[in-house]
Amino acid sequence: MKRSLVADRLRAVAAARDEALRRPVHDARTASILGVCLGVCFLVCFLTGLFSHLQQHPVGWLPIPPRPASLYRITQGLHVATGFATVPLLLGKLWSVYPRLFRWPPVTGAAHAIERLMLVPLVCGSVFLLFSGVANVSRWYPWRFYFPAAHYWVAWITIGALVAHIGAKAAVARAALVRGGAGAPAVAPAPGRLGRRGFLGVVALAVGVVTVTTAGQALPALRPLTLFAQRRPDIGTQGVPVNRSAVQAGVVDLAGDPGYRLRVTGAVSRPVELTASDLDRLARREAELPIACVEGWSASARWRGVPVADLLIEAGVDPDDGITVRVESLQATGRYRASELNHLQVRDPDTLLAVALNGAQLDLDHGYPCRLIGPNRAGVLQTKWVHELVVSRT
Amino acid sequence: MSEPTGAAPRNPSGPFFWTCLITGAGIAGYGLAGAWAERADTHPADLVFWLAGSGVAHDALVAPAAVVAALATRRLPVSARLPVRLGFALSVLLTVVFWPVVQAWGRSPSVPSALPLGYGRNLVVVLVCVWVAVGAAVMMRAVRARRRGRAAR
Repeated sequence: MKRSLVADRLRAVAAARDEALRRPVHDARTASILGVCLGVCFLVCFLTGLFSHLQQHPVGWLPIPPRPASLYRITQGLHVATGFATVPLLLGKLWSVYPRLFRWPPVTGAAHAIERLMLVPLVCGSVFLLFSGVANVSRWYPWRFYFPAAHYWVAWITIGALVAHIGAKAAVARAALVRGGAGAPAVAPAPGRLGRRGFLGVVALAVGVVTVTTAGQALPALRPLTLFAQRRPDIGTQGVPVNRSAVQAGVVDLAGDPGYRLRVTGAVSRPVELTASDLDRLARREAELPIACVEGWSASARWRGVPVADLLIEAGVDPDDGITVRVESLQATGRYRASELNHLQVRDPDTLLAVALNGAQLDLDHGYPCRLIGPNRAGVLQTKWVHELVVSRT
Repeated sequence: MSEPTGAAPRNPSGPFFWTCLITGAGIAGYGLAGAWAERADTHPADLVFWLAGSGVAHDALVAPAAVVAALATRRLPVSARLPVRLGFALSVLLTVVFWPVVQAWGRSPSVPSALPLGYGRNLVVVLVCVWVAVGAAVMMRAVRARRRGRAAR
């Protein structure tokens, strides 16, 4: 009795699956179109993500160049915008292929078993990357792991699974994408029911809504439509958003102390020591540079400061001598309390220790008495409340 | 249980499949090794929980919920069924994706420039627009169906 009930249920699931698979929404052509779009988005996110990783974990053989100045602003803005756009695409794709999850028998051979096994990291990894990415740019951290490390390594796992998936599905997808090919639906949708164009149109509409309401955090043209981005680049102290405040960094007393000195130390001929007013007097160079956050928002601003290269010359160091500089913050702890300038960045005249922002003295939350601002750098590497430059020879 | 003819299972084979499989497994293996090497940061047990949870959340919650929603709306008039289903899907998607900013879990008192907007109000505005569009689509389809019916008579 019980067994026949189970058999009935299974038969019903099989019938529902077969009926669904005959609809254009669930056929190979729809799945292939969405698959190609997803593949492009994943590639964009992976490459821009690699670049962001390289910024934060520099390697000697591939130094990050300081030009073009807005490169990171573009790549990271693209990373986050593409990630948002991928959410409806991925949900559309998973919905399209969902009936295939109930395929019976589940596998028909060793190769098929391996192929389906690789779907586990692909689906879990894809959903995880988008979920964790959206949560991160919403500044919400419900987990215990360190987001950049987990997001980065899961991206490798997911891309690996994606390569295997492409190998398994390329022929099927190619056939399905050929007009009149194998992807043509077994039955056309009844009038008033959802066809392929309708389904893809709604996915595209969702992509559009999600993109337009968030991308204003990086694209000034879309700023008036910014409804759900974590930042609007014109809202913040001195017209620029703040990521970490002086209170959070625990530097309020040290940064305001009249005994503050900026020191240039390490492999120098003569150590340099400057007060906040010395710095202000020396700060004659102005540059228009963006703050480009890893979380996707960016804001352009006018900075006034002292070129790091000038401070090195003051310390008897030739900036063209292949040196690197470690920029130390007053902040006592935290992963981003210091950053490194490679030999190319050190030389750039727009790599500044800034003392003024948009025509006014730097606010405490923007890094008073001075902060690093350089072209083509991730926001977390634009070290604030700088008190020491440590020179080393490579 | 047999597949419908249009989706006959095809066993993957050929040099392209095996090359991609080996390359992909290598790339994924590099990711696994990296995650393990940085286990102080990646917290493997926690990561596995969220990774597996992501897959399970989709396959066992989100997709079945969509099936249930489709079944629950099957008795709606034909002209309303499709627009309501799509409007519902879009509304749920936008609400879930933007729920963390609507709740503003990431706000901190010393950083007023983070999450500075009225996200709840913005979500209501967008959802109202979605359902106005759904209403318009239902009306258009109803009018068209009546015209068709009259022409057939």
